[in-house]
Amino acid sequence: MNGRILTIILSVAVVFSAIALVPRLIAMRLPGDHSGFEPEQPIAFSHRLHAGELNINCQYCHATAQRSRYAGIPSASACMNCHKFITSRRAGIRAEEEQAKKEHRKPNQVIAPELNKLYLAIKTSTPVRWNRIHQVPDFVYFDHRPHIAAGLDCQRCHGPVETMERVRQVETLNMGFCVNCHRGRDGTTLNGHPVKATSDCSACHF
Amino acid sequence: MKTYYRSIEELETPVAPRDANDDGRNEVDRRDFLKLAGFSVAAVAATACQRSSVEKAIPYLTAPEEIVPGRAYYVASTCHGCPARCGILVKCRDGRPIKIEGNPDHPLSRGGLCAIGQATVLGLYDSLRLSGPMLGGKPSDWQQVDALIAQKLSSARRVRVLTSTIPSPATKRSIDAFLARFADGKHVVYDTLSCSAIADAHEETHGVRAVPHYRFDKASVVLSLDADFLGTWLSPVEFTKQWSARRPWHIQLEPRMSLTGSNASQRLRMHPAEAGLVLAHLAAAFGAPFSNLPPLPFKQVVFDRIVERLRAAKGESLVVAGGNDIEVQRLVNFVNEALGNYGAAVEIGAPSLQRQGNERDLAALADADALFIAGCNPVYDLPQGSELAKQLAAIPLVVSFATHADETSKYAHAICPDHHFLESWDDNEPVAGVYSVTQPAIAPLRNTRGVMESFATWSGAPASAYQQIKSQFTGDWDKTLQTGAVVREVRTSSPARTNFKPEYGPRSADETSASHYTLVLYPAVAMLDGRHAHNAWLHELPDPVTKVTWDNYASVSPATATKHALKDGDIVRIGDVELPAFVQPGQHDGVVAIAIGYGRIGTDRFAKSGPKWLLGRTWLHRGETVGKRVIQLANQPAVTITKTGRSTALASTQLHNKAEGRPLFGPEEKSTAGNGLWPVKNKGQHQWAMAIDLARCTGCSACVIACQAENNVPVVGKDEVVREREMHWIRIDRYYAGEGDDLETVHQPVMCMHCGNAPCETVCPVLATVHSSDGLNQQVYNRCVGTRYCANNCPYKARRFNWFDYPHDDRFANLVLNPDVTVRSRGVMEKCSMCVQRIEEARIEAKQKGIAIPDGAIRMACEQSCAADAIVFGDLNDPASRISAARRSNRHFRLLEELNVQPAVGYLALTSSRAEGEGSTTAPRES
Repeated sequence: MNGRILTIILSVAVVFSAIALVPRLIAMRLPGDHSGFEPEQPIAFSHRLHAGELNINCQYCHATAQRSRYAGIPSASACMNCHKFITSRRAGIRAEEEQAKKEHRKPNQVIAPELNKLYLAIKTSTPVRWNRIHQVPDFVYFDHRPHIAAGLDCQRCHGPVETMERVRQVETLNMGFCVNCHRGRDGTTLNGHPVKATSDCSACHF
Repeated sequence: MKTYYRSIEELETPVAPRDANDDGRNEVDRRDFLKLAGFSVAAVAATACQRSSVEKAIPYLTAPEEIVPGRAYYVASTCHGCPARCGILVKCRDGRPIKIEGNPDHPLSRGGLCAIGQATVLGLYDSLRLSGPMLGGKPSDWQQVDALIAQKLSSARRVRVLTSTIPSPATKRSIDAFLARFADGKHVVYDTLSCSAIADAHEETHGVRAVPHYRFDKASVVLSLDADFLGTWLSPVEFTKQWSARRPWHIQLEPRMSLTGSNASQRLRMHPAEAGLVLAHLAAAFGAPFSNLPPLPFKQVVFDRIVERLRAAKGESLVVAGGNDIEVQRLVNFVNEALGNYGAAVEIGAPSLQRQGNERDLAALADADALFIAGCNPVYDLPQGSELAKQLAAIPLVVSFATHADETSKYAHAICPDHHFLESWDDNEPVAGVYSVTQPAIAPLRNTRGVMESFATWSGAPASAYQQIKSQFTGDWDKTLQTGAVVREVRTSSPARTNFKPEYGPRSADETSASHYTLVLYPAVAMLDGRHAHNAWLHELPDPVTKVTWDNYASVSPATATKHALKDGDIVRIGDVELPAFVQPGQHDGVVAIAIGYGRIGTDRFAKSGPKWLLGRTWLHRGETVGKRVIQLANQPAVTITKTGRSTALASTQLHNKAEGRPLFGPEEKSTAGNGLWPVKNKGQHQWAMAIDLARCTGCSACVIACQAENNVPVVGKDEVVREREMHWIRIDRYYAGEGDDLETVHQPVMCMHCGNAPCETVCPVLATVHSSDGLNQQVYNRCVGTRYCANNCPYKARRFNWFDYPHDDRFANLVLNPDVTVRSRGVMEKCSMCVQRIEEARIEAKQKGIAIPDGAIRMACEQSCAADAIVFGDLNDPASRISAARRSNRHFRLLEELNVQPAVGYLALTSSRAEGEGSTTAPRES
């Protein structure tokens, strides 16, 4: 009798926990795989607008990719190269100009609310704290320089950033992802040639 | 064949494998095991649920032009680790200094840098550095301090500034300008490592009170009487550079085993009181009118050969003496003059300014109205420190510039902490005519102020250090900042040689009776006069000769040890100090040698260093010090040794990493039979290899600290060192052969040999250590599971295991970590990576430029710092490279060649310039 009750209780428990765990099991991924990570950023910067619509070169802003391990996030002063003059979308400025014409006054300066955050950061000397998206573990020493020197597209690892309103990690950026390309197994080509890169551990791990 | 041994203990019991934990106290019993097992399970359970958090990426608001995030840049500056003032390049990453390297453009040090220079970067990130000015022992601000000093100075008449040697013209100018305001102002300079007798002797003989600039590159015969010029004397890096390039016939007479003595062509033991006698004989041989001299303390035939060698090398020899005895130095001057060395190897026209002290001036401190103490710690580092402390209490105003709370600053009314030299502007003139600039590599981390800025403020003409230096500078300022140093013409009014009358009054040599010993106090290579006592790297650096870490000790000769039944670690009482004894082969039987520079207050901070664990032993309690202060014994002519019956463990690394009885040292011919398990693959574009020239290596240990700084090697603390768990990737094995006057010493750096047939690679069950295509043995930390099979199978014992996480005891010191090297965690094996981060950097750079990596473009951290240029790294696939040339040399050999592990690291055998028939050579000379 007792044994039977115990069995029932245990079975119920197993079923309930299985139901609770199923969604987790479906979404399970290997540790360290952060593909799909798309955090909200302190300023809603649009790569679709800048890299896509305006077709600004990636390395205009991420200028240290050629010179350093890190591609780098542009300093606020780099943003100000353009945004000293461009304070809002053109549509907003036009609307204000027309409104001003109607009201026979000088048009006010239109500042987009997101850009205002940048101006505020400079005014208060508080650097913008971006959320880092593409990140490899501390024991991996990825270096942008040889990849750019080899002529690899940024999109190969970062995905079609120029189409993203908010940047999302597309690839897993795990070791398999790196090694498959280094060994020329995933079909990536450089100027029509298959990739033949080092697969020594010490290329990345030291 | 000679027998090489590392210590007396090893000589007596040749193969004595010692387990780390077999001293009986450390057996793990069942209960401890269960406790540990329980904790481990709990720890795993607790740490297994973590998920890495999202990192913030915070760019600059306005990016500084010179800083590229992730990319190193270098600032040319000058080292302030000692008054030698070597040129340095400060490697900075993301705005903070992380490593110091030698500056190849500096005319004196020419790219070399000693262990102390390398370690000074750790001192920058010391959280115990005073955070700002102090008034009456309480934190204050600069306005209040300046106001108090101005008020007290208004009535002051006798004002004294007490410093150690300051080779900075600008600082001296600011002090002089300050003192000029007072009726009786005087700048008193003293050196704990004093050379004032040399200066005094030259005042008599040349009319210039100065220490000459010695040029070992101009001497083919060197006679040194207890001058440790490769280790601690005047300018060791410069001297090492010159000496090892020339490798002169060098005879060293000394009472204790110094680093210099261990490298000499011939070394004789000499009682400190006998220096005058030997020199008097020498002077007589070169024409001094001495007669009836007491007999020489060693064989006439040896002496005759010294004379013969010196005579044959007239104008190309050098006699130096380390002691601070004017009579000895007068004789040295006479002999150097007789040999025509002035103007050649002894340069008095453009003298060295690295020792300017004059201890006689210390008398001027009495009855001062105000005393300013900069760059020294007289209560600690003067023998009469405790009397001075009483004097200080009577002075109305004592101002200290100490960076840490120290023995002297306790008595100061105000402390005005100086910057760390990596934060400050300064200029230097270590040798007349050689001008170098100290540039800041980082803004001051603390609320400190430079010495010359403080003096300028109190003089009523505040000026920044930069203004003070720049305003007096003539020449190309920008170029000087870029190269770090400039050489100027020195107008030498060739000094008048007035008085060369040598005098010698025989000493009563019977000061040492049977039970009394002469005390020899010497500066340790890492500690000098104690100024670096807050540096954990230097404390854990094995002494180049004794291999002891974290302590000073009373060295006695083997005969003395037998007489008193002493063995290493037995605590003896000498004067009022109790110290562990250490048996040192090659030491004079009549002396006890103790290193000064230990026993600084505040060193109990290191009680925190090392892991905290169940069986960990507390080796340092609050209020205790690392080692003992002994300088107060300096005035005791003779001491006795009293055994206390207690003993302690000396953290000596000399018997660590033994190769289970295999002779690690020895260039003897060996057969290489059989093949490795795996074929040697030589498929890569490069074949990296290293060669170490044992004929150049002096064992100075700069490479050990360079490697530690470059590769984030942790400090483990004394208890772990005793357990043979030190983490240095490069160790310097020191071997002795022979005994007494025939003692020969060999220094041999050993690191991972990067074997072609690596025994470690075949046994790793998880392939965490594998071979790279370009010949490196790679250790992959993230794959390692810590079986330690590889370390067991390593014939060279070059692998180190992380028994614990070894965080910095001072969290602030994390800023010194090299961001290009992983900080290893507990349970992971590590070893020399051949600075693979530097190889990768050079590879990437060459790839970007589309060129082949030029020979010499990659410099290992150890190679870069080596003042002796003993280490060569390069690509064997390039037949024109330096390493290929080294490989072709007939002196080239590899360790344990008979194992056929095909190491990538090789050695060039020691050649010896010992006299034919006297002693023996280790290997045939290179033809």
